[in-house]
Amino acid sequence: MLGVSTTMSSSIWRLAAAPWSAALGLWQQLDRGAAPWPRDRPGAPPGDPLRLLLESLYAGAVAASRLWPADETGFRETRNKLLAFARFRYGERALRRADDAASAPLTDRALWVEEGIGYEAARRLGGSEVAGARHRLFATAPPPARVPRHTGLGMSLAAASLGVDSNPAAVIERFVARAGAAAMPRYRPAALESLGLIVRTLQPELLASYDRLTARRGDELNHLFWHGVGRGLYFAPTEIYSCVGGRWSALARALSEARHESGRRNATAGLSWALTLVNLRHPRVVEARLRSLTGRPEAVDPAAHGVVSALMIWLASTGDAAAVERFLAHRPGGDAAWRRVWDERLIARARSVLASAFPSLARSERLAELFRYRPLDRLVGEAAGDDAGRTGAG
Amino acid sequence: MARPAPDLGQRVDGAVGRALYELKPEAGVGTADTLPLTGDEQRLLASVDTYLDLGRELKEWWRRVFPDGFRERFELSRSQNRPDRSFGFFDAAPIGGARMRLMGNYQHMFYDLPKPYSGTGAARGEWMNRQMREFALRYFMRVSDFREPEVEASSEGGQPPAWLRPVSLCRSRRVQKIGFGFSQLFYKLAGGGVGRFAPEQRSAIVDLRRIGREYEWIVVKVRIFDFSFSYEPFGAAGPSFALPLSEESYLVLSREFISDRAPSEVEPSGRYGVGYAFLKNPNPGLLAYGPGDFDAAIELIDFFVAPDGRVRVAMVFVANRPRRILDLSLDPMQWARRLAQFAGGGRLPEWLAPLDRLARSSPLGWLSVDPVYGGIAAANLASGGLARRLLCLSRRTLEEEFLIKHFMQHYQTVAGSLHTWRQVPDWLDEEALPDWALQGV
Repeated sequence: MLGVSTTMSSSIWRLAAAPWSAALGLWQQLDRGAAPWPRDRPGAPPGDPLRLLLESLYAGAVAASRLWPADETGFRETRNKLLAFARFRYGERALRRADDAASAPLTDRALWVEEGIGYEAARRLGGSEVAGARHRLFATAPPPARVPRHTGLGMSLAAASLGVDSNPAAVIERFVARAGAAAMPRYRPAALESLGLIVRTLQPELLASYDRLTARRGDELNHLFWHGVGRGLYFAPTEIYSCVGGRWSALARALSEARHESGRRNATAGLSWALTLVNLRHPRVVEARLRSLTGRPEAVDPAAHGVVSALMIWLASTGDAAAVERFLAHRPGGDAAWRRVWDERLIARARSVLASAFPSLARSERLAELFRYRPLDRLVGEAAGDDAGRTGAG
Repeated sequence: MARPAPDLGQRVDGAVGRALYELKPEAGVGTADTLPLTGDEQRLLASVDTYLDLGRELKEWWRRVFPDGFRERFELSRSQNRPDRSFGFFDAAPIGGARMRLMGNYQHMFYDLPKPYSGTGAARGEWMNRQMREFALRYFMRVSDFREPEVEASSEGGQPPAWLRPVSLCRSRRVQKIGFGFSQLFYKLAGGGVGRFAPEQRSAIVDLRRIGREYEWIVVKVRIFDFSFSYEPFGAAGPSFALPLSEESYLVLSREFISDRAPSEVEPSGRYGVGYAFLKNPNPGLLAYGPGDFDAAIELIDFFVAPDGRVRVAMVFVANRPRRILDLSLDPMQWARRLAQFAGGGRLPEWLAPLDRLARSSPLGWLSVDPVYGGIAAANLASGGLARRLLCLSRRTLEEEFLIKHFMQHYQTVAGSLHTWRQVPDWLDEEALPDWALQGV
């Protein structure tokens, strides 16, 4: 009986979706140069409403970029966002079929799909079991996959906690206990940070309560929370198309939603982190958004932290150094003041941190420490100290 | 310090984010690849760990405060010529990381004298312990509902159409059930896998001794028979109005709630019993409080076998105090969902799952009123508190009424089970047990 009704449901959706899907397919023919939309992956069931919505938004962005080529950069960002989300949501299912495993770009698999695997695995196991399954799911994952799997784990646990309780104190209590038990100790910050992302996505009205309650449990959790809020803000529904045109509204919101300095810094770092990871193959998009920093000097350091951290996570997870090098080689146009900020405060520092701190952080599996803002100079200094310690000890 | 109000952008992000989350592609698929689940079942299973945790906290709290640590304790009932005692209580405790206002009741009653047995003294006590252990842990949940004698249909005349029944004197065959009807739905193996009980297994609730050893937990559904609210404006002897409610709730049983303790030097009475934490109904209806709508609740039913073979039973119920009684939504999406649910005989058809998901994430979902508590508040406000003092129109009265209802329901169930317990001379002789005890039908 259940099978019959499920089939009926699927058939009705498929019928309703068929004409619209066909129209979308035509639109997508216009965009052959872009990264492929994962529309043929079996993980996205035909007629699935979420898939239809994502495809529609994607097709809308393609169409709009044809109609308004001046804003192509903004629409490119929209497409990249939607693709990243689709990889996260459907990638894990796609990987179950060997013939589809090879179709997703390697870097997408290493980041978004691995995040989706962590999310799905934790969701299936449920709250109490996921702690017991820690070693199987996360410890045995290859080191490059550990950071994204832990962010996926954190997102799943946070969503589950929010789903069964409306009391922020109880949600935090449950989430921290479960994430603490399930995550590998060195990757715990990556899991805990996801609370901010999920709260910003599902209950942004309660940010102030969560801010107050996470602060009660210590600075670290509060900083991680706001970093997650920044990442969540990047994927906020009202930011899907708002990146087109003038100022970067998400930055203004990151700076206004947090009521204290550390919150603003971490939210900005998280926002820039997500911007960079999603658009790393399109540095022009990242640069266009970060131009808004020219009016916000206080946000430059946190944004630099986000950009540099994203580059390190990308390198550690995908090993795709060529894409990072292309990103660093990008030269902005426009006024001299902005070029100076980009070259000196972002790119030069990124090169310095990648050369000095990244090898040490990757070797000692401390990359999850990047999930909260710290001045980059301190990061470099600590890495130098670590290396000196290793040399001395050796 | 005033909390900053959420801006419009945040409200929109939240509403859309929740709607998208509800559109997640796995709705209708299982938590395990081999276990197809409806959206409601999926939500139910996802909540098990949470309500188990809350139940454990409630049990631990009960263990600390019983018998004299309650903030407010009051008499619930009186019985003539029976060695029973009971009380209700109100209190508050940190549960689930937040302060929760609690209420509940405790009832303790004599159950039975020793069954006929050829031995004497310690041997009789030990035999009675084995009998009661078997009955409580293996059969009690299978036989806790009873059918009253059924009236035969009229020998003359037929069955009139439904619209003529109010003026008909024809007797119709009617099944009247009392007690609790348990059926087991899902399990989680101690090794980790989640599964569904086959339809033919549902009534034969597993031997509770297997929980903890083979099963981490099982989820059961309980139907509460003969559950109604009556209104007697002219007293018990006058005309009254009764509203029968078809109440059911999901429960989760795990090792912590099951008693299986043989007598010892420290505790000479054996203790055997069933207990469970309540799960919230994943598909809420008009009632906002009651079985299936508790934020957190537990029930413990323990049988004590004294050294001389006498049996007593103690029942504990702890739950959150209601914040509202009815949930009358003003959101058109909720009404559309409830209408579809009503048309589907209480269940939303699977093909309407998208409507269900949209209704759950509707930005107007919070818009509802509680005419019961709202009415009480309005009456007291208008009368300067006279409604409470003169007519007992208060939240507290309703809460006490609920506890009394709960008390009576459990009293009937346990008293009814006594009849069943006595029908079988030896609960350890499986070969001689009737089918209805073995199958739970």
